[in-house]
This record gives sequence, C-alpha cells and structure tokens, in this order.
Amino acid sequence: MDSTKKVIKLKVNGEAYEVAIKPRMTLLQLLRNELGLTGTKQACMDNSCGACTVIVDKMAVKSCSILAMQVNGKEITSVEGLASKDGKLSPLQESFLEHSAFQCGFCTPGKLMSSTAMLEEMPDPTEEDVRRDMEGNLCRCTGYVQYLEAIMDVVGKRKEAAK
Amino acid sequence: MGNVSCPIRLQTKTEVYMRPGYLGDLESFIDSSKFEYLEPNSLQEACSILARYKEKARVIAGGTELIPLIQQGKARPDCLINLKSIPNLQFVETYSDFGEEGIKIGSGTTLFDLGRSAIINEKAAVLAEAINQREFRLNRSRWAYYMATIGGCLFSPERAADIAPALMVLNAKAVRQGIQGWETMSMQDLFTADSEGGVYEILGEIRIPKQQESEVGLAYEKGPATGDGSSIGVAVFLRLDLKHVDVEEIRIVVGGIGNAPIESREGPAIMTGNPIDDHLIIDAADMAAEEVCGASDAEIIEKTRELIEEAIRHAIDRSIGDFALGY
Ligand SMILES: Cc1cc2nc3c(=O)[nH]c(=O)nc-3n(C[C@H](O)[C@H](O)[C@H](O)COP(=O)(O)OP(=O)(O)OC[C@H]3O[C@@H](n4cnc5c(N)ncnc54)[C@H](O)[C@@H]3O)c2cc1C
Ligand code: FES
Ligand code: FES
Repeated sequence: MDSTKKVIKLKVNGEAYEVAIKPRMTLLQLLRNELGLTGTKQACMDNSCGACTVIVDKMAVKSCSILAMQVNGKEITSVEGLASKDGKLSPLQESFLEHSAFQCGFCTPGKLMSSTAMLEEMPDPTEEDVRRDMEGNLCRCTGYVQYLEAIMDVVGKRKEAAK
Repeated sequence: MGNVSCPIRLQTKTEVYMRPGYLGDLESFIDSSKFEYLEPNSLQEACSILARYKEKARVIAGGTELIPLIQQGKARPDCLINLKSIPNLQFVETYSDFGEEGIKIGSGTTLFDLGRSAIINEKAAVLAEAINQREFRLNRSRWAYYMATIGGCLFSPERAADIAPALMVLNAKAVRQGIQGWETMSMQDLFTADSEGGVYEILGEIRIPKQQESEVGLAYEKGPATGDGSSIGVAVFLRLDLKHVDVEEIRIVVGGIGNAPIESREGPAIMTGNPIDDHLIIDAADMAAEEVCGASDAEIIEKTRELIEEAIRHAIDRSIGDFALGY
C-alpha cells in the first residue's frame, strides 16, 4: 500500500468499510470516488449550496468540507441509504415525488438528507422551522415552495398516524 | 468485521468513476494539497509536532474554517495536526481549584454540545445565548455548528463577533499549552498573543470563573451581517446596587468591528455610580458605539448603537426581573 495512505473504518448506509485513503481526501471524494456512491453531489465546494449533504452520526453535514479522516469510526448515511433494502422509498422521498419537489434533481439528494436529519431531531417542525433549517440547501430550478409542501406533508401524515 | 466490503482501490478514481475534466477542481485539490496528517495523543505531543514544523503545520479541530481554506489554496500546510484525536479535549465541567470556582470547557467541545449543555445554560447562559444567536443566523451552515469547536471558533477570522464578547464579559481565561507548559491568559491577551509571531501554542481549555448570582444581568445581542462584513455582537455585564437603583458596574464588549472584540470604556464611565434612567442608557449606548466603531460608516455606528442599547436594557431586565418593566 502507498505509505502515505491511512486506513479508516466506517459504516456507510449500514455496510462496514475499511478503506485506505490519502489524508487529504474529503468525505465527498471518499463517497463518490472510492465507494462509487455518486448520489451525493458536488457543486460549489465552498460550503454554500448543500448539494453534498450527508448524515454523519445523525447530523446533517456538508461532505465537501470534511476530511474522510474526520469520520473514521463513524456512521454515514448518503442518499443511497434512505430507501429500504427492498427498494421502498422513504416517506420523504415519496413525498418529494408526489409534490414534484425537483426539476433537474441536482439539489435533491442534499435536500433529502438535510430534511431527514431535521425530522429526526425535530419531529414536529413548523413551516418556519423547515424554511430556516433548509436554508443551507440551494435550488436553482424548482424554487422553495414544493419541497416545503413535501416536507410538511410528511409531518402532517406522521401526526395523523400518531392519533 | 461483518459484511466487510473492502474498496481499497489503488488506481486513481478518475479512470474508474469520473469523466476526465468533469471534476477538475476536485482533482486539482487532490494534486495541490499534499500534507502529512498526524493524530497526536496529547496536547504536549501536538505542541512538539507544531514546534518541529512551525508555520508549516496547522492544527485542525472541526475543520469548518480550515478545510475550505485548504480547498481554495489559501492555506497550504505541509502537516495537519488533528486535535480531535486527543482524548479529553471535549468537556464541560465545574472546577474548584485554589479557592477559585467556575466552569471549564475543553477547546475541542463543539458549539452544538455547548449550546445544549445544562451547566452552560445554568451557569453561563450568556454564552449559550451567543451560541444560539450565532446558530440562528448561521442556520445556512447548520453543519458548521455540529462540527465547529469553541477552540476553532476563537482562532477563526470571524472570532471577534460571535463567542468572544460573551466570554469576555464572563471574565473567561484561556489556558494554552506550549512545549514549555501551560499558560493562562485573558481573552484579550489571547487575541493579541499570536500577532508577535513564533508562538506555537494550542488552546487547551477555557475557564469561566463563577459568577455572582444576584443583582447581576448579562445579555448578548447580535445583528445581521452588514454587506460583506461580519455581523456585530454585543455582550453586556451589569451589576446594580442592592436597591436596584444605581449602576455599580457595567461592561460593554462589542465584536465584529475589528479583528478582536473591543471593550468600551466611555459608555460604562457615564453609567457607573448613577441611577438607571432612560436617557442615561441612550447616552451610554451613543458614546460606546462612537467609541468602538471609530471611523466606521454611519450605518454601522447606528446598528451598533441599537444593539448596545438593547443589550443594556436586557441586562437591566435580567438583574431586576419584573421591576425592570419600562427599561
Ligand atoms: C460558510 C461559513 C460560515 C461561517 N460563519 C461563521 C460565523 O458566523 N461566525 C464564526 O465565528 N465563524 C464562522 N465561520 C468560521 C468557522 O466555521 C467557525 O469559526 C468555527 O467555529 C471554526 O471551528 P472549527 O473547530 O471548525 O475550526 P477549524 O477549521 O478546525 O480551525 C480554525 C482555525 O483555528 C485553529 N485552531 C483550531 N483549534 C485550535 C486550538 N485548540 N488551538 C489553537 N488553534 C486552533 C486552526 O489551526 C485554524 O486556523 C464560518 C465558516 C464558513 C465556511
Ligand atoms: S458542494 Fe458542499 S456545500 Fe456545495
Ligand atoms: S431541482 Fe435543479 S437545482 Fe434543485
């Protein structure tokens, strides 16, 4: 092995990995280039667009700005890990489809990851909470109405189901 | 390890997964940013590495400030020293040493953990307030809040605005580790210490002495960012006399104007020893804003004035509670 490489262990979408990487590799590079998980998108690379958002130990983080070394031993969920093993989409994925919450879809993986982490932490957000919490995920084509409706729909359905 | 997939792929991924040129900037980042990555086990070890590499090394905590700088080619360290590998750098505890009591915070503690810490919310609420107001404004970069550490925050260019003013009114001290040993200094000194250059020390912890609990009001106010500039944050400490009439002591610290927070002398000078009065509050805010803003434009002075006035009023509310209605 290249002596400048280091071995890290991590779980991605429930699978355990042991990967030899160069220390300068970002988490985004690891996911896309080493693990072939290209659902996570690369866009601005300066932390402002949110396209690269993944969940690290339940927290939504921007993978372009984290070194892969920093997630050694951690659990990562990327957009590929949202659907169940048999391919059933998550409620948020379903809702994004139902509400046509995307056009080109480039921002969608990031938006799904941010909203998934948000609903974990804050199960009953208001529209204002969602708008504020999702500000770090930019969209160049659809605008910011449909995804809000999609998320609030999931919140509403959860409340109904809990009654 | 169960279900182990081992994607050790020694050929470059450009050949395998990426169309050449598509991720050009990513590739140039890979080529341009070559550094050694070290994970010390103690602060002493980190300091020895720092002393060896000197300005060619950078310590990294959350990385939310440093990784973008490396990606943009603005920082080109030969060696990156990860502080997160050091055990016991993330803590919030009470302490009692040599008759002094207070709270100590490990420099690797994330702002996320601090904002939710029961000790901080109970005993240094103004710090939690500063962190939460920063988070509210910063929700755009919610990720930074999860990763960012208090140590990294105090060594970032925007450090002056957010957390530091709150730490200064709490009389917090910084404890730095060098190869020679520990050094304790005020927050003001922490901000000026590095300007002399050649000091390879690492912030280990922050100590906040126990606060007097009655007749004291602490408040933090933050404004929106001004154009390209950073936003302004104001922290106020206020102590009234026992009758809740006269101002015994007041401190006003403003961040976001220069490289380091600035403490006003003139605002407190006209308030100290005088009974609280609406005109006095307005005059003190005017004087403090003019003093700390110096040659800044009128809009910034006005914003600063409003924030100082608001923070003083909140501090009064907190020190007198319900009696303060009207201030
Ligand atoms: C989009 C964006 C928005 C931001 N907005 C804000 C903001 O509003 N307010 C704000 O304050 N900051 C802001 N920042 C800057 C930064 O994210 C924060 O200041 C953060 O708190 C840095 O913490 P960190 O642990 O990630 O630091 P790192 O990135 O790991 O390090 C930052 C600097 O501190 C040094 N350092 C880290 N720990 C120590 C230590 N223990 N001892 C000595 N030196 C140390 C590093 O060498 C480096 O120079 C922003 C950054 C980005 C990219
Ligand atoms: S690519 Fe990471 S935030 Fe835009
Ligand atoms: S759907 Fe195209 S960027 Fe959001």
